[in-house]
Amino acid sequence: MGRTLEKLEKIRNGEISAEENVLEFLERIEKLNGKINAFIEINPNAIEEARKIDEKIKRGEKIGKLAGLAIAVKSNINVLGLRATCASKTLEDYVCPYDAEVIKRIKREDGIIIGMTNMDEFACGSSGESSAFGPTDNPSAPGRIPGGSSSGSAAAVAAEFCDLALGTDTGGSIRNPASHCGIVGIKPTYGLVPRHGLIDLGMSLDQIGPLATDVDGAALLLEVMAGKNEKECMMLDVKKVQYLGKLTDDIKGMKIGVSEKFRLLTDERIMEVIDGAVERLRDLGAEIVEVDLPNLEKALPAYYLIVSVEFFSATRKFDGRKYGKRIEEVCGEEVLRRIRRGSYISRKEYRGKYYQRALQVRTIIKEELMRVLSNVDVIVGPTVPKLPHRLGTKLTPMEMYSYDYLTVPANLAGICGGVVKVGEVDGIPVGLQVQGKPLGELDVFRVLKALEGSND
Amino acid sequence: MSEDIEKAAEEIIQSFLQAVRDLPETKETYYSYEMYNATREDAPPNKEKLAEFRKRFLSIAPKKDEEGNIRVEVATWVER
Repeated sequence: MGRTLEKLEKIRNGEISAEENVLEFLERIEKLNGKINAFIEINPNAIEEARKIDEKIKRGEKIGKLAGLAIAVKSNINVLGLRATCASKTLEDYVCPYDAEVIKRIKREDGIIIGMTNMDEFACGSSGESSAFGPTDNPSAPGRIPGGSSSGSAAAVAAEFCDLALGTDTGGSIRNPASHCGIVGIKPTYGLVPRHGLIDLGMSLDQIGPLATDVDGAALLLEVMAGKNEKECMMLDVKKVQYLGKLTDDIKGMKIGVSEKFRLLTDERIMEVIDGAVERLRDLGAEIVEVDLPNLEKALPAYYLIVSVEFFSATRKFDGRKYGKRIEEVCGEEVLRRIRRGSYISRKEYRGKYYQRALQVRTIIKEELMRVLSNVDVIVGPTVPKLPHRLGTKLTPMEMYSYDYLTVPANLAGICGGVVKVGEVDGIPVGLQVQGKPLGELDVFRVLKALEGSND
Repeated sequence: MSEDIEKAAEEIIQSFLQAVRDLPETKETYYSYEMYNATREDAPPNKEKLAEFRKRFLSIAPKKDEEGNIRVEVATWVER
């Protein structure tokens, strides 16, 4: 049994109370958040909410699947009464007037929202440095970036400030920081998890997903959040999902794809760790198959064209008239760069030359991944092609975007992906990425769990 | 800054065009799955919830009048 399920069991049988659980995290946050800067805001009602759950347990009432667990939420998801700032001055005073659908589902299962986490401003970044509230440090590799854009959520899990956390993944924003911080992160299949209440970066790419210290924890949180929401028209027709009851670490007979393309794009020290993990999968009984991904590297420029246009469109509502401030007047450099680029591409878009062409490339990437996934159960490889840089290092935009080479294809294709730590390079965690078929999360979890088990 | 951004935008477009010049023309994918689920059943609004939402929303509005309406000015950047 993983750490998260053990904790749940202890809360259920009264070994520890939900209040003690929350208090312990709050003390740790109080002591260490000043250095790590993972949280932007703490929920002032968290202890009170924990007490209510303890009372339910004492009265012998039915309790939810997340009873007493402390969950951190990325600051671009609406949580009633807390601030969803997107780590931007634009929304620094925006107090959420409602709960996002995923938050409603977490609260229904007695999860406790412990606070709102730092992030790259409006999720525009891969390093966690572009927040208006200052950069986040990497608890697993101090002095280096934690990755982004769900930097605070990943750092909060890695620093043991919470049991679980919510991130969002548009081009790798869950998987990238999960890899750099040495934890588990899942980008669900597009349309599996409701996006109602998420402040979007790219509406055709964003997915909310879990970050956790262990695979069971990530599976549990995804189970709670997933499933059709009648308020949304771009969701898959899936009522609910169940992973934990079916989840094993047995991968005997699974067909796992690997591609030489990953090696060409990735630091060789990272590839050494990944090669070792692939050998472990072979030893555990999986069949390793070489697959061809000829257009993989073309996903990145296509992604940045698409996301800039969608982001430009999504930010038009931040005009400072009904709430917040006008975005262009207060935002940081990278956000402004993406808005201007989106506007520029939209203005230049005639005869389908740019945006439409990028959408054609999206079709090609999707078909390529679907073809490969029709012959194998999952594809494994590195998550991020390079090691996280030291905080404050100056990178050009293209150097920063190159962190996303290996994660954006899954977003363009709408498939699922997960990350687990498989080793280290000079003390810096390295995560292996498992990409699965649409709604193939259970296969992804199986491989992650097999690797998690073999890490011990 | 603005000129740099325009230059970077142009660069990303050019690198994209260069990268994809040999790829065939094909249909566009806007969303990964074209499955629309617009089947929400009609139901009357919950007046209590709406009133509560209105109160919370007004609490974060930059300007409002005594009757509880948001006061919106024409933004300075709108061309007249």
